[in-house]
Amino acid sequence: MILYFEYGTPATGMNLNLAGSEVNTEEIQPGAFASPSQELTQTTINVTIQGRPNIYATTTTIGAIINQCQVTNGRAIGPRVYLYYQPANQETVYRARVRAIAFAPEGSGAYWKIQRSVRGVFTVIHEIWEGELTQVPLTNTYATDDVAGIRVDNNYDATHDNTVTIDSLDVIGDAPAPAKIELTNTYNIATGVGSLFIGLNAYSTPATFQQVWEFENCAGPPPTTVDALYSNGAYVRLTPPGGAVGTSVYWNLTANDVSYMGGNQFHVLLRMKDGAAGLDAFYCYYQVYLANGGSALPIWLSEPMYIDISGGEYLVSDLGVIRLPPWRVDDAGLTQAMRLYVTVYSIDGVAKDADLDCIHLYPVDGYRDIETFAGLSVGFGSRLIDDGIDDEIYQDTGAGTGRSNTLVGMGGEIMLQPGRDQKLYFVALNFGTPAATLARTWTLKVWYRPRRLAL
Amino acid sequence: MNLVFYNRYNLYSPTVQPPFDVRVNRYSWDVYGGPKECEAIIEFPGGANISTLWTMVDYLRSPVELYDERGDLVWWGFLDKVTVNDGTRSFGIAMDNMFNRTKATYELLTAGSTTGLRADTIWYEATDSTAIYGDKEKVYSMTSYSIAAAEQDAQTRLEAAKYPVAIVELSAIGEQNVTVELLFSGWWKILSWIYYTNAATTYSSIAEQLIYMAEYSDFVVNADMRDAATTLAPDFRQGDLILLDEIVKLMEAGTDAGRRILAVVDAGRQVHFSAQPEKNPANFAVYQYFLDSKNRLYNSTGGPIEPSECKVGVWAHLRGYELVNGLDNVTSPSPVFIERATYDVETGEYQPESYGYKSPFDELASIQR
Repeated sequence: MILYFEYGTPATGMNLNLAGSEVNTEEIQPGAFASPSQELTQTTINVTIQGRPNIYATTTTIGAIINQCQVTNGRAIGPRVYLYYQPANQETVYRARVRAIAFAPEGSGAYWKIQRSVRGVFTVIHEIWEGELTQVPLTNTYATDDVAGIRVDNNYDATHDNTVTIDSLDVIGDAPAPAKIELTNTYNIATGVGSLFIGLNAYSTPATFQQVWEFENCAGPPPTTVDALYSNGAYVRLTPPGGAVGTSVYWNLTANDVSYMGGNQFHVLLRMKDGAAGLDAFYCYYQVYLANGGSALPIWLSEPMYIDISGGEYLVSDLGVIRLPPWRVDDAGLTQAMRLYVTVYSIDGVAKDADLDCIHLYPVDGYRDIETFAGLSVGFGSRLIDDGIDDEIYQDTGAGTGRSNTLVGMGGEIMLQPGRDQKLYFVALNFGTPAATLARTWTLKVWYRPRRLAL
Repeated sequence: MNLVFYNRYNLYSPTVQPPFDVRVNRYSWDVYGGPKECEAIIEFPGGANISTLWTMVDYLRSPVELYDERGDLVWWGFLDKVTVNDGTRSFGIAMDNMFNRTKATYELLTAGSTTGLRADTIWYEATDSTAIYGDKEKVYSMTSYSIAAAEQDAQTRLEAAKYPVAIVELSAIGEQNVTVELLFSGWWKILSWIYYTNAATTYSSIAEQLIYMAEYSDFVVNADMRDAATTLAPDFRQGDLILLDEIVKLMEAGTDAGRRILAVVDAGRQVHFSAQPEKNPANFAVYQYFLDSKNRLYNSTGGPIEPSECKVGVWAHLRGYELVNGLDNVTSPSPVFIERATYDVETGEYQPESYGYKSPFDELASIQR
């Protein structure tokens, strides 16, 4: 059995061993979690501390651990305290972040510190059990089961791949586990990255679900403009007239498309064209609706979706979340073909020229909108690390130094789903001039710690 | 739930996040303005030192955005009040009792006279405070004064109220948990921070006036109106009413179609005005919702609406009442218009309130008294 508290960084070796000759555990009752959403549980550990000098030293250490626990949880400074435990019948050492500790000596009265041996009970309030840090093999167009750092692009079309697939066998455990995502900027231009969207698809048929819907592939689209700077090498101009009249386009969804979506909810990321006329797209609002195949009659209509322009005119904008289709889908092959409409309205009743590139549909299975602030951007060679395991987000030089934490992640951390095929999507925006440059690339690595509700 | 704080000075930029686990308890929406209130708490089960507890005061009036488990932005606004419980005392620091621009209206009495006319001082401003929090105005109605006395009074009150004042609960409250409670308000509330003045003596449409009024606030980026409200009304305003009152009065006057006007301030502080949806629209299926007896909301195709969306401003048919018709002169009990709603994060429950939610029995009781 391995059992100890860690109350410093691993480099400092500040541990209290509870499974040795000086402090020996007689009994442990590891806390269990009823569900992944349960925040805390309690573990009790009955120990014996042997030898008078050792009792003094150990009680000093126990005081330091309790103090560090209060400092790190009450003042948010210093290393966190972890309980490490490997049960005798298991091969993995699990850890749990400790939120509070109490130690109660038994039956020796006021003079327990001068006894030859002391028995006592630790009551430990802690978070979920986590296994060892494990790198996840990643697959896409460029590599298979990669752990060296896989290339990821800034779009998905015939010449770009912004996805990585994770095999169901590569995420184990019995609860969703946060991912540590490490992206190194490999696009060698002066302009760094200012923001990044990350999506996770675990429940909408990741292998075949279509993430990108090109406006030039709409049924009967307005004239397409060929431009290699945009997704699939083209964009279209929609021209909502003045007044309250909108302009609509639609994609034909096959029965399979509808099945893949599966009634899941999706963030609608609208990708627009740069340029003076195209900026009209920001002063429009958008409604998405579904119709039966061959019909224009809406059977479900989204709320009006506006673009937030308060922080600048970003060329990829999250319009909001919609459910597609807006009902539950049980089995593949039972649905019908449908149409997915987008209607564009002028926000102020004045005719607009909206140059639109495509939409990305990112499932809500995991979603992250990361933004830098205070002038920070993630430049060429730098790493952006979104560490959901230790709840940190930062960039560094790529060598682990020069760490800066002036980034913020909107949405919860990306939670990898055990036993499921899943796929991650990425789209980044330039800093300052917020274009989603197609040629931008990253190398990507992902880690996680398998989670256990009970040991 | 993931609460993200933005910079108090540069409202567009995120800022350094508080290094604590902020737990959101509940939040609410209203058809007037959208996000209304949000309550959150930071707990320190092992205790915390005083300076740590006061960290959150530095975030007063900072913009916030709240994301649910789907990464969807479900609530936004600003930090309006911080209550610090250090275990034995309680301190409340709120924006409500802070004013950084003051003015006095009074009856100007000259020496030897017994009657006078209304007079106003100029606005006095604490520029250091307005730079931090934005303009928050207060007009004080005074007694009979000289010019000098009124000016002194307005400036004295400004000096006392120009920063948020900590209200200390000095009476023993006994041993309590060490916590910091946070109350956030939607941006709609900030329209009540200033008075509205318009010297123009022209007429313009209700829609034009609403847009102009909303954009009168420094916090509003822009405003728009989705439906026709072309009825003309005078533009002139003396400046005695707060901006929010003026806006709401016009919204209640309604659109050309005779429906009142609703509003949402989005996270980018753009105000979107629109008519209240029709009760019986031509395309019934698209615009109607269904509410079951456990307050679960569904769209017309039976798909569940995520409770955390805290949906308001829609007509919802009560399950089981769809076919109950009103009598000739009594309104049908269904559909109901959802005027405001609360989402309880811990229980995951959506708690809607309908338009005219006050019980008719309460009305009757008040008449009988």
